[in-house]
Amino acid sequence: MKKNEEKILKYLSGLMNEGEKIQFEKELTNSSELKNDFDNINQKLGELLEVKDAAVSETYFTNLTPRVREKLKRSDRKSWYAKLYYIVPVTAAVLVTIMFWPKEEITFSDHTAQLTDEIVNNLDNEQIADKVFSEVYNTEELLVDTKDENIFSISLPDEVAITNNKLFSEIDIAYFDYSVLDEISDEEINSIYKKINK
Amino acid sequence: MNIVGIMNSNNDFELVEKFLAGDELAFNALVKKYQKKIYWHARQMLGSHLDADEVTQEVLIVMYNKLKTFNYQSALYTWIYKIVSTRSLNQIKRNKIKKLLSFDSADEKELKSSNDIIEDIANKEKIEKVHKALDKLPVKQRQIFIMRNFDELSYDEISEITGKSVGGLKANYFHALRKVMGYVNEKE
Repeated sequence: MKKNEEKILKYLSGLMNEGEKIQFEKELTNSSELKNDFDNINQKLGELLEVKDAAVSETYFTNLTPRVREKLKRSDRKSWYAKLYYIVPVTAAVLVTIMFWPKEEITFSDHTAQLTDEIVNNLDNEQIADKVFSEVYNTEELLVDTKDENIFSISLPDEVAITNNKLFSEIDIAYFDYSVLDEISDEEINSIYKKINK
Repeated sequence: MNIVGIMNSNNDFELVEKFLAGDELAFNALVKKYQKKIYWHARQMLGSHLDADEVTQEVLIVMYNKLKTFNYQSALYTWIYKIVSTRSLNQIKRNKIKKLLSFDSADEKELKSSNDIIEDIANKEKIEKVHKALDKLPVKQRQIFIMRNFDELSYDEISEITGKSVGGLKANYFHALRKVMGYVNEKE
């Protein structure tokens, strides 16, 4: 058997060339020993491959499609959750970045000049505006004390009568906190400036 | 491909087209037609029902999601076999890693052997014998042996699925046959 096995397996594998194949088939009809070995190998292989037709539970295959469909539904849901898992941290990261992104520095002098400009433009009495603020327009220091960066105080000229201390403190607070100042609407600022000029 | 093969392929193409046009029943028909082939290929490659079941479901899901990429240049079954055979090889790798890291617990092994769709004891023994013989083969030889003997595919078809040359496949099959026969003779 051993002697012929190699040859038989080579034939079964299709490894023989056309000449070898014809020679082997001729030998197979003439040699009973080779024929026996050939049949023997085929029989053993056949026995091994019998499982091909093994009876199995059909319930498994009947239930396969619904199970796959269920899995598909779940994976669809999962992909939505997966998207959310990405969206939430990404959105949070973007928000944090925006919150902590260094804001453009507004220099003290820029701010003061802007405010001075607004005061001048909004004064009702043009005569006073000309008299009092023409100088202020160019020398902001007259209006705002900048000696100490941490303390903002308003030093309005005497010509502008401010009788209402409450209003004055309102302005002072507005100066004190740039963010508050930024948040005050144009209408509110105009109203304050008009009151100063009364 | 023979006439029956061509007819089947044409029918497959029709079903694919219907499915892609939104007919879910066409997909069911494809599943019904190929589920056993998929299962048995995976089962012979992996040796356990649970692994085969996992791979079968994976393959059907891939089919559902990727049929739109099928280009009609080959028969649908060769396209499906490519998926099954890749998934089975991946599952073997996964199992090896599990075994190496001892993740495959005794309970899981017991579950794998007890959970089966083959109810007949005689058939179970036969299947066991085949698996032991196939287990002796390197995975590539096992793959070819299964495709040749159980899936009854030609060398040309196997070549198309695996991307290997026909000559290389024949040599591999020869070695697989020799090892299997060695195992069978040893058991006698």
